[in-house]
Amino acid sequence: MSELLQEFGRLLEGLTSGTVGSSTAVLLQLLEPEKAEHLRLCAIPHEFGPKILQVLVPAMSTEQAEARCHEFAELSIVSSVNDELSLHSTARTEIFGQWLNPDNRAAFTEASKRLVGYYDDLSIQLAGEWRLHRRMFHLLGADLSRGFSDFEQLCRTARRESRWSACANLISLVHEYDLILGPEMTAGLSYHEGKLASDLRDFERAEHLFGALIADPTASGELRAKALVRQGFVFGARREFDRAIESYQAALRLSELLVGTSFKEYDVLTSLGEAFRDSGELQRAEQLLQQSLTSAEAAGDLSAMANADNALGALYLRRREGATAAIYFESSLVCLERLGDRFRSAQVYNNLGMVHAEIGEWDKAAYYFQQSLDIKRQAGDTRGQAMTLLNQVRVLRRRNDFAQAVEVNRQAAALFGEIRDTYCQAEAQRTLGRTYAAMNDLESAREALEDAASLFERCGSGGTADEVREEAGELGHKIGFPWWAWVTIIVPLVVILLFILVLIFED
Amino acid sequence: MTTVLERRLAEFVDRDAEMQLFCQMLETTNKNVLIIWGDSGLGKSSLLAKMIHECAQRRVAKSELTWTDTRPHDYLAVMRKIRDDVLSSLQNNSTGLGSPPPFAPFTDLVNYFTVEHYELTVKVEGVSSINVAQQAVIHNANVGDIAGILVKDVMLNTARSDMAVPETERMARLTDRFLEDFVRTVTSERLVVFFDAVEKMSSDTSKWVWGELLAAVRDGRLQNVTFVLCGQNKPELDREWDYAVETKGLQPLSHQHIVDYLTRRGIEEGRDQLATMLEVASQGKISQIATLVDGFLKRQKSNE
Repeated sequence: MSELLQEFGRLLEGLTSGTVGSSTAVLLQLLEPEKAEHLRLCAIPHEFGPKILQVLVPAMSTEQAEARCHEFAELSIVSSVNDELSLHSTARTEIFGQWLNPDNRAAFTEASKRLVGYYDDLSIQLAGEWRLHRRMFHLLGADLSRGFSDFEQLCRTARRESRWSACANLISLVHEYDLILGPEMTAGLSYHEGKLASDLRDFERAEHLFGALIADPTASGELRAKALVRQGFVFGARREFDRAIESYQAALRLSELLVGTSFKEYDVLTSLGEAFRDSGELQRAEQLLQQSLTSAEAAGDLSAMANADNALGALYLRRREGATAAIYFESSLVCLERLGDRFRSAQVYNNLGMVHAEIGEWDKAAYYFQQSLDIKRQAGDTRGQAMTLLNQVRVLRRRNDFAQAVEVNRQAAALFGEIRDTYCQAEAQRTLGRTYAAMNDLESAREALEDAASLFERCGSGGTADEVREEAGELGHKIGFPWWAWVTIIVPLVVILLFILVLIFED
Repeated sequence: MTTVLERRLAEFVDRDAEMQLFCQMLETTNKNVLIIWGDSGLGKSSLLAKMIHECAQRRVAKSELTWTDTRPHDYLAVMRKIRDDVLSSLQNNSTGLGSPPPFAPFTDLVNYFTVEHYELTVKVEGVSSINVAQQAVIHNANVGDIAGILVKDVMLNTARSDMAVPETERMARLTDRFLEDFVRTVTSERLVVFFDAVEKMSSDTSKWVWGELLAAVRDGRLQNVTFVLCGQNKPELDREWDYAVETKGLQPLSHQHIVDYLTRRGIEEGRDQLATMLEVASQGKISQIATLVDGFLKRQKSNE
């Protein structure tokens, strides 16, 4: 026993002094070499069991694999999660890092290939998404570039479906290969991380990631141009239009140097035109959007044409050129129809409704709003419905149809409430308050504005809440003239009256 | 023959304060969220296993969810897992005559949002009029006639392609329906929900867990449910959580506890000397101590 204690003591001294890496390293030294090697192999996948152990050690029989797993399950370093065994994350990270060393790479690559084959054989439909993630993880080990392509494809799919957790998981799995990724893939990974941060509205992180990528000389020109565009989106979402314009312009300058890439300049031109439009530079915006439309038409890109047409329509609507705006919105609708994209056309119908309201064609406006609402209902887009209803309210108010405006406004507010869009609900309540005020129903107006202020407060817009309260407070005072007006009127009247009386009595 | 879990529970040392706090929470309704945090290797998962065992002994229903590197449970997966665990723990799968079976409306809505051409089958009394129902055809819609309807989750995750419901809306509606069903189902008996390795949650899932699920506990909408979250990081919470949350940071094991652990592992000879060596080498981290003792015992066995 004392000999064992001494041997153990030496190992622990090594651990303390740093010559032995960790408690896991000590355990591996104390285990029989074959068992230690099998345990090391079990650190390649995240979870293991007899079947996976057989894949890792093909010479092993089912009974041997089961017995070995049973033995490993006894170790404190191994836990059982979801009916699978897994190494403690610290231990697994340490051993996995060793597998990435050049000396171990050949064996690691072979084991990874076998694991890819194992997951290929499983039925994807029945097995669930997590098995696709595991396959991708091992494909990276077997063939880094194929694995990375698989990652990008899975990440794009998950992102398109708004499954952010899946994106985050894929990104963290690729990060396990950081030691061997190389600059191009590292940059690619940063780009996907930036997009995810942007999707999650973590704009600070997105800006940081895209900024680092743009400044990275090892990143490809195409990726840096894409990062500049994404950075522009981030600035645009924060309504920092000047910075957005700078980013888009830099992306376009960089894209001039690119050859044979999938980078679409006309898409950037549309975004740039929209940024100019939103910052108030309408002439420049028009020029860029027309340029974008021409390029998209030349490329036969219907989706981009629909976007450019819609952006131009919005521009002319802003310039109060309703007839021109309508032409572009109609053109956008034609493109979307040819694409078969019914859901996107809902927004264009809404815009057409705005155009006809602008030029006083109320029936047409109502028709287009209804078209938009029908599609949004079919799509299950409650927020979209509420937005269109609010636009309808504006039209109804201008037509002095206040009773109907109140009814529609209430519906819009209720819809925003249902989907917990508190800010928009507050905006809808504010509009309702103003509608009541226009009807001279001051009590209801005050009530609606107070509700709006509370809602603004709830979503952290204290400043707007104060403004709305002030607006509610002023409602009461607006009955008749303010006090100083009365003074201005009454004092001269009294003076005149006294003057007349003096004249009468003098006579 | 003892199982691995039984053996590990028998070897469990220290954490009396944490266990005491947990038991207190089971007996009272003051605070219903317990956060256990600490560095990797301090024994959070073992403590969780001990708490789960405590629940089993007290016959308290529980639900468990562990985040791993390849299981990135999102908000929908969390709700499905809690639903399944609650249903399997329920003795009587009915909440009363005329009411739909537990979680049937939620499952129905999950299918509605994920399965193409799916039509809602369960109508819920009191649900506002302008909602998904406006788009959906509801079969067997009479409340009171639907207690026998079984709704099977088709277990799809992606949004149905014949609709375009924004993800934020899908999440809000599913969460509302889930919480309604959860409140309706867990009425009298306590349920404990355990979340392990929460540091592996994605940021959006974490936001949902705190902003929706735990907020319902904090605001008193969800009663009789205790949540225990284990993770590496101490959460930064606003004052509004003070009345709902208890936090406990795990500390390294003391020398005496290491001695106690070695005793439970059957080591007698040279125990104190070994405990001293282990304390220095591991800095009191139980996972390291346990790993080293495993190695020590393996070598001892092979020497015999």
